[in-house]
Amino acid sequence: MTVESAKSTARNGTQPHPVFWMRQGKPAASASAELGASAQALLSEIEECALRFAAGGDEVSIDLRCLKSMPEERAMLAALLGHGEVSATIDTIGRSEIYETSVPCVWWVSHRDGEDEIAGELIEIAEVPEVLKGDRRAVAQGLEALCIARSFRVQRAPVATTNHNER
Amino acid sequence: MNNQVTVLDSLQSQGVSRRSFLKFCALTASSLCITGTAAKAFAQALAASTRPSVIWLSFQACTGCSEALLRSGNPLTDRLTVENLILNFISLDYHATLQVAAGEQAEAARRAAMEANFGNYILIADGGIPTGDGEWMSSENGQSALSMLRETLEGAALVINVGTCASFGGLPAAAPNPTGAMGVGELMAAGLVPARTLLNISGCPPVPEAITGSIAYFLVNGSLPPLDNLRRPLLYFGKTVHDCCPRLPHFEAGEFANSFDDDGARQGHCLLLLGCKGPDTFNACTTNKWNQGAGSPTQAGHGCIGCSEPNFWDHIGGVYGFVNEFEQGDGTTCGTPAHPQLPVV
Repeated sequence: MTVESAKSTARNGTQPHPVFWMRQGKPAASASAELGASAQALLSEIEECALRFAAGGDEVSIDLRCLKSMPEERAMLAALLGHGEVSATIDTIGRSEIYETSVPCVWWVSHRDGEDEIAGELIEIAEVPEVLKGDRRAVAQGLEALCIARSFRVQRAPVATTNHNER
Repeated sequence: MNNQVTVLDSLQSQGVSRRSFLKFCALTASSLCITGTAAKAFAQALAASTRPSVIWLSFQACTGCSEALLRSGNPLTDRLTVENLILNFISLDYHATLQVAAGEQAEAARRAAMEANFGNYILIADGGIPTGDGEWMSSENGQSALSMLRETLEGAALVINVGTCASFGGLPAAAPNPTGAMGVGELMAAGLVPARTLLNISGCPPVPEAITGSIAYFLVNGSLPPLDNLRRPLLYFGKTVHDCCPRLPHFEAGEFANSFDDDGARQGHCLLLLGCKGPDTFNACTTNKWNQGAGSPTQAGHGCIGCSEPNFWDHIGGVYGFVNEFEQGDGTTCGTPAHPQLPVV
């Protein structure tokens, strides 16, 4: 499925694409008119990449640092994209906040540094952002830690049993 | 150290999660302007790359360059900082300041690392190198800095000069240059040391992200990022400090501070009349910033001293000297608007 055919399908209404669902909403109509050139360009890129992804294309990440010095445009773009059903926080080398926008498969990712300042922001277009996925290679290490934790509990168990019997 | 271990394996063996690594990759790819599908490929390639042996030589240096990299995170709040991750990307086999060994043992470790990785290791240099009559003014274990550099360069695949001293001579080479200090590139051009592929990351000290990003780029691509005419990565040295200065709107409006404590200075006016060398200085201070992005010299209220440029210490007029017109990298000039109010001397 090409981008053009995806657009065409969406226009025909047989399978409306999420981008077009979003555009039917009120925020899109009012906010996009006020968007500056940088945010407009980003929005177009997001739309194109989302359509390409919907048509079977690759996952894409779009850097939002061009909006770093334009907080108003950033806020307008965020408002326009809205919030979807999923949000998550990752706590590693500073916090990271991830949420799905109102367009399914379009995720807003904010990476913060140790001082809780935004170090980088991305739009990720994927079913699930790579950074949210678990790591199979780390499972054994986690189980090892679990085993150690359990062994500590076993050692403490007799104390708990004694208390129970006394009662 | 085992250099065949991949970067991701090395990180995970030290308790660094895959998510931390991916976050580092996302931020580094952003600073390298890698976006779209290439950002994911960048992370995959970096994860699978093996850790190159690195020999870090310090010459006439204040150790500020090492400190800039090592102390770039806040040890009180960050167990692991983004910048510190770079130390897991490389196998640091020799660093005179960081290693425990000294004297014969240290030099034996350096030579063992050179032998084991001959033709493949990365040499990182910081500090100027004294030459001529002053050659022995910097020496270690009975070997002059110049001799040690010459010997270590033989098997190096790449030389990264960290800081302005190693890149262009820096402060040790300031007039009257009593030790005959030179940068590594100058020594190569003069035929005093073997010529090898060279990357300069200048600054006093350099921006940590410029060091980490350039090394990550080399690991992923096996080649250097695009360079300027001084062999600095354009990704970090492609714009002047002035281009991205938070005081730029005041410059364009013709609003200048006339002293460091006047109303203009407090209101963020341009510091050009107070000697700022921002228009003549290519560096990432105002884009990447310092101290976890807290600020930059011009943001803090002091003009840029041009520390990433050759001979900055001997700049006409000195650190606080007013320069009316700067020549830009693209051949154009940048000057103050007509009839600025000059500071009272």
